[in-house]
Amino acid sequence: MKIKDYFQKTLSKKYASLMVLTIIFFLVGAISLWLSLHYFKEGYSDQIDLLERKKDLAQEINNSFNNAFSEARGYFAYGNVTLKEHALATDEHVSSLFVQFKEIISTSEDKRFIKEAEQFQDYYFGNALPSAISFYEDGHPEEVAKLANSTTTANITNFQRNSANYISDLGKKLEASFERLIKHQTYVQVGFIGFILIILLTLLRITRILLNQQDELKSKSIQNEELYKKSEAERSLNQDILNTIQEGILLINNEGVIVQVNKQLIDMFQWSNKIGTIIGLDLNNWTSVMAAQVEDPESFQSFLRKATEKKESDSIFIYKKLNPNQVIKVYCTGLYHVDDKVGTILVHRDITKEFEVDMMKSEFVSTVSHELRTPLASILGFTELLLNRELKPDRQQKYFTTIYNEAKRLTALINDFLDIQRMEAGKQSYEKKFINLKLILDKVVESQSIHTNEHQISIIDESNKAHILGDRDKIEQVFTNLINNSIKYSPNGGDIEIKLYHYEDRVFVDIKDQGLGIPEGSMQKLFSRFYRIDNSDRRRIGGTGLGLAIVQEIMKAHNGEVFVQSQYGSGSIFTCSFPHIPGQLEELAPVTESRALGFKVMVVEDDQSLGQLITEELKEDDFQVSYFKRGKDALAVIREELPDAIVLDILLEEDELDGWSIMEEIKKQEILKNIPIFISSALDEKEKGFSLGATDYLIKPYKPSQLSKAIMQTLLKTGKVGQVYIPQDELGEE
Amino acid sequence: MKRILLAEDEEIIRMLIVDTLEDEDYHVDEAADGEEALQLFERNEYDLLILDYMMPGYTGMEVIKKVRAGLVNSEVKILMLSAKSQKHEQEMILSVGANEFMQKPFSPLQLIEKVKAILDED
Ligand SMILES: [Mg+2]
Repeated sequence: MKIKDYFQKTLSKKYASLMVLTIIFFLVGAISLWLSLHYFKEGYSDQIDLLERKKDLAQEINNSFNNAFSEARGYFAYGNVTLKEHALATDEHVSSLFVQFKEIISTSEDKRFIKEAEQFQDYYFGNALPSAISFYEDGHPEEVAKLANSTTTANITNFQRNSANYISDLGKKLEASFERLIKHQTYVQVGFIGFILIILLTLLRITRILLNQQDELKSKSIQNEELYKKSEAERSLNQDILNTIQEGILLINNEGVIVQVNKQLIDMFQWSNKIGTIIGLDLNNWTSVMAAQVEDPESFQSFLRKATEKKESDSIFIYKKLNPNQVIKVYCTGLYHVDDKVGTILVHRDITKEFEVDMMKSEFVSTVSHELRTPLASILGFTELLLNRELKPDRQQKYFTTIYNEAKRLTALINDFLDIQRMEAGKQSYEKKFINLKLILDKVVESQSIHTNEHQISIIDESNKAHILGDRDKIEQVFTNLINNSIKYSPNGGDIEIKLYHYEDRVFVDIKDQGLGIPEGSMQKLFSRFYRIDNSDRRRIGGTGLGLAIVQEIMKAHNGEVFVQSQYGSGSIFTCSFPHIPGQLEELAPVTESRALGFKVMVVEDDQSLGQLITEELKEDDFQVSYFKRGKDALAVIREELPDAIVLDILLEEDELDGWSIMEEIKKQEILKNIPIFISSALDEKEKGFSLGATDYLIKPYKPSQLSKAIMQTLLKTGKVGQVYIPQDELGEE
Repeated sequence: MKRILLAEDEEIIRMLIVDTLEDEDYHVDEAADGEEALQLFERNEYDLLILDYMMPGYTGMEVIKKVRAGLVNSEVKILMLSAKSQKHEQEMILSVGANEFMQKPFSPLQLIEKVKAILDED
């Protein structure tokens, strides 16, 4: 992350400058240490040199005097003249030493020493020695000895003692100087170590501060990173939300520049660019790009301009987009932050479907009104002629017949129209029962044959019992419409062949005619409302135009299908298919009156009063009945009881098992699975019941005698236990 | 005797109009759609065309346009029959070149009056 790098960079910069500062401090310390050491050394060595020189000179003065003394004594003892001259020459030498010494005098002790030495020189060389020499040369050695024994010796001794003291003082001073020098050096060194320590401590402290700072920065940068991630996540969530919305959304600022756009809008206008490059386009730019794909670009663009300029109300505009053709409604509204307008949101919604539905609706209404007006026009027109004209009886007859037929047509139209409305709205209720398609077809063919003498209608039944679950009246309507169409659309007569057969798990009915056939272009629209084929012979074939639409709706409601094959000019085949009901359907012979020969029936029914009613009814027919309120209790004893039949309720209140699970349990067990089960339920779930292996399914409320009859029928057919039973009165013979 | 050409796809309505007008001593030729009407129009000379609006193939409107744009008898009087009830639809029909408009369902007696008025027979 960039932010982190930045912080790390500045931190290392700080650290580097700190190191430079430390090195500078260290160098300054080291240099000043060196300088002070040097300075101390210089100071002390001057002092020591001076002291040493003083000490040397004093020693030499002392030695010179001592030499003079011993030479004088040697002269007095041996009379050696050289010695005398040497002794006397010492005076000069001592004087020169005195001059040298005086140059380096610095203390009062030095002054006293030199003063005493000069006094002694005066005394010795000016007085004592010459006197002694003259006594000696005059031949008075006793006088020399006397002289030596008197004050002279005392003076010499005194001087010698004094100078020795002085010299030893100097030595002591020297030693003290040396000691001081060492002491000072030690101080400086200790100071330096202290300085280094302080620098190190400071460095340590600052490093610690820096490290803390770094930690802080690090945690801050982590925080920043988290913040960044969070805001990034929010941003992409917002974009995802925008992209998930079905409408195309465009947000522009007050200057008309695109601020935000979603994927749908980009797709809508086939912008190949990515979102990032579209954001930032100015008003002219994007409006002209969009307008180029719109049917009426001028008004589209001027709407967009106005919408973005306008301060107050929202506005809506509907435009047609080209390639692909879409009808789009754009909705503009200001985007406000608190009270300030910050931009405009444009929502583009594809209303093509709604628009088409609207168009279809108004088309439908105008078609219906046209279809209703046509028979009305005939009825009104002929009635007016009948009322206002003297007409011959045959013309009157013709007009009345026409009026009657047109009124019937109007009724049929209204009925069909209401039917299709109800079916399409899903409000048509179907009373589905087991019905035999063959019987229905027979009935429809019989009634349709009355209308034609030119058509041969035949039924070929290749099915093995074409039973389906369906609403008899509605299925009749399907085949009436289809066969009626076959008759109408083969105006020159011909064969109409109806074929009934099974294929895989479905039952099929083909209705084949030798009529006009259907042009290729009309096949798609054939089942639409009010669609009529534009026939080559231009004859208007009567009808409501809703027949096939109704057929399709009814077939849909029966999980069926209807489709058409046709050769234009040589006929059509309409095919209906229905789901085949599982299990072999068997029509049963009417039940002969008989008594149950002590068959055992187990009844599971949670409604106690209904349970009693069933029990009593069955007992009256000589069944042995064991009644259970709870399914669990029934299952507990069923293996011992081994009933001949079971009557089972599906919805069992306050029971953990329902009828379905009890049934599954029974069908799982080898010794129980062949016991016929009669479902007695308020639920109409016959298909489910039969697929789970029910023998019969009675929907409450039913007459208890019906149940008794059904059980009897099944049990009397020994060896056929477990097969599906169809109640006699539902087979369509009535 | 004035000749009238009627184009109407509904057989019953055709019968009603033909009966009505023939009683008034007009000669009426029938066509079941626009195309048939145009063929008859090219072959014969008519004083009036009565056209249904909604017909398979060419609609009444298309027949008017073709007649008005044609070389022969393009000034023939035209009466349009339609279930269209809205004013703008009727105006459009007149703007295309129909002389009169009559809404379905119509009164046969009124039709006679209209036809007479168009043909200046009062
Ligand atoms: Mg029509």
